[in-house]
Amino acid sequence: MKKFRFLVFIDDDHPTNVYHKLILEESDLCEESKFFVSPVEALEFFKTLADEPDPVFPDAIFLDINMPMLSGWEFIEEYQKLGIPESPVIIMLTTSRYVKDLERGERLAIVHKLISKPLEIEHLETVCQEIL
Amino acid sequence: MRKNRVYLVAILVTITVILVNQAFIQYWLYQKREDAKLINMGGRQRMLSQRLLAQVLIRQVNPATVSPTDLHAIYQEWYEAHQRLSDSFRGNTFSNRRQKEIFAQLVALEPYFQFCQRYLEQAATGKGNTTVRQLQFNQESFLGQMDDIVSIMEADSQRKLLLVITIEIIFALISLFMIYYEIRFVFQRINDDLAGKNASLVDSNYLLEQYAYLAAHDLRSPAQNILNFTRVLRKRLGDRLQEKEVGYFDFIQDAAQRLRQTTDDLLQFSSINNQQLRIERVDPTVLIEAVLRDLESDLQDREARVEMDAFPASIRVDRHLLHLVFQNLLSNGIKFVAPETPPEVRIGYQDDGPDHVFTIRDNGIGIDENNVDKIFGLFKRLHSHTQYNGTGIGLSICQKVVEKHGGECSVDCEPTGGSTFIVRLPKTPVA
Repeated sequence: MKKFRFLVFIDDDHPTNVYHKLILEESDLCEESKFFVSPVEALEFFKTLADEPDPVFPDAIFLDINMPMLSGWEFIEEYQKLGIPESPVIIMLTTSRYVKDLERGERLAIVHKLISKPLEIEHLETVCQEIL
Repeated sequence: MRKNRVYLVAILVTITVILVNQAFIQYWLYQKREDAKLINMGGRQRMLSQRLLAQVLIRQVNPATVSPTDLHAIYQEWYEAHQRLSDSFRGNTFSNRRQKEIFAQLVALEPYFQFCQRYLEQAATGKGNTTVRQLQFNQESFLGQMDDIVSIMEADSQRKLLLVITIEIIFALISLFMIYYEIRFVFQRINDDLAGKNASLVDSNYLLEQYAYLAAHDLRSPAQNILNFTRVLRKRLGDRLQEKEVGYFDFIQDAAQRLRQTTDDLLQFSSINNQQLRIERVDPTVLIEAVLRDLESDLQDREARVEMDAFPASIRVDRHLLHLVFQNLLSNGIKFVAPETPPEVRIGYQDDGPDHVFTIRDNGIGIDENNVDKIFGLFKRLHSHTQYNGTGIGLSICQKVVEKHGGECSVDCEPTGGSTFIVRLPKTPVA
């Protein structure tokens, strides 16, 4: 099976990040990963990354929707303002099956899909097959 | 409180006006009857005066047919009636100008009677020189006078009637005004008040639902974390765990699972409130088969049997929401059975005029009649978690969804056990 080269996870809940990291390690589907508790820090990371001479962008960003300060949707807006030519595959993570979230996700082309937390190995396998 | 008093006062005034009005009408009706009686009497007096004259004339022709006693009897009747009539108009403090006039005129009639009496005495004794012609003149004059008096009586009665009508109109206007006042200043205000209270109730309901949503949302992550890390920990400890400790892990996982289920159900429940129906044509067979696929592992574990009626080719519903309804009802149907009993669920359908009626009948433990009203209530559970688990939200969700479609959800319990849930959906759902 193919493997992700680089994945980014953004979730304001630290334990969730830790768990996702465990799942990721267990799945052995990814070479490199980066976890952010703050979406603002994640934005800064991408900004610096874009300035590098030979940037390596993530295969996908797993993005939590419900975060204080900057929600997942706002993160996407801010990200698009950075003017990075490569648009990443974004997978939204949601705690709820709140329909408004789902509808919004369907409308945004940049969003690959919505996954209800917790993320499982099967999710990673599916996404891997879908985008690589 | 104050408004309540105003309302009471207004009601009392209205009732008083109506009562006074009724008494007034009754009183004047009585008066009118009395007047009619007197006018009638007046007319009769004219008739009696003429009858007396007629009898005198007959006696003139043939004295044998009419005796003086006969004549006297007629006179007596006539005079007594005259006195009764006069008495009716004898002045009292309430009598008006016309009544006094009538009385004066009646008194002025006395000489006619005296003349007549004298003639009758003469007829009996043979003494005297009054002629029949004079008597005839006397009676004709009486008739003319009596005519005038009756006219005055009629005019008086007519005037009273006009007065009554005027007063009636005034009373009616007062009643109308009171009713207007009631509506404008009392009922309208009470109504406005109620509308205001209703609006704030809707507001607070909305806030409550928002609150439930936020609370559930914020609780879900911690519950999920507990579940995740208990699973990780349990896996890592693996064989090192003693049997007792495995039990403790089970407790933690069960608790966290329940916590998460409750928050999930709550989120679902409140999201139904917030979302618009998306009505589309749905094949109920396909929908129910999808629900059964969701429940497949449960169905297999319990060796459940599900039977289905033939359904119409399509119904107009919100697919996602109706999926929830059937999911909840079917999972209840296979959940609430006595231990060791394989569940049997039958999904029926009836075409009932404007409605689709789906029935979900099970062979479960049934519902006590006293609890039938309660089961659709939010968080209502009839069993302990060890007996049957659940959050008590599922049926609330069902009811909410069905009501949102303009239908209704109910339950029938059979004495032989088992229960039938009835989902009535209008063929044309409310938008």
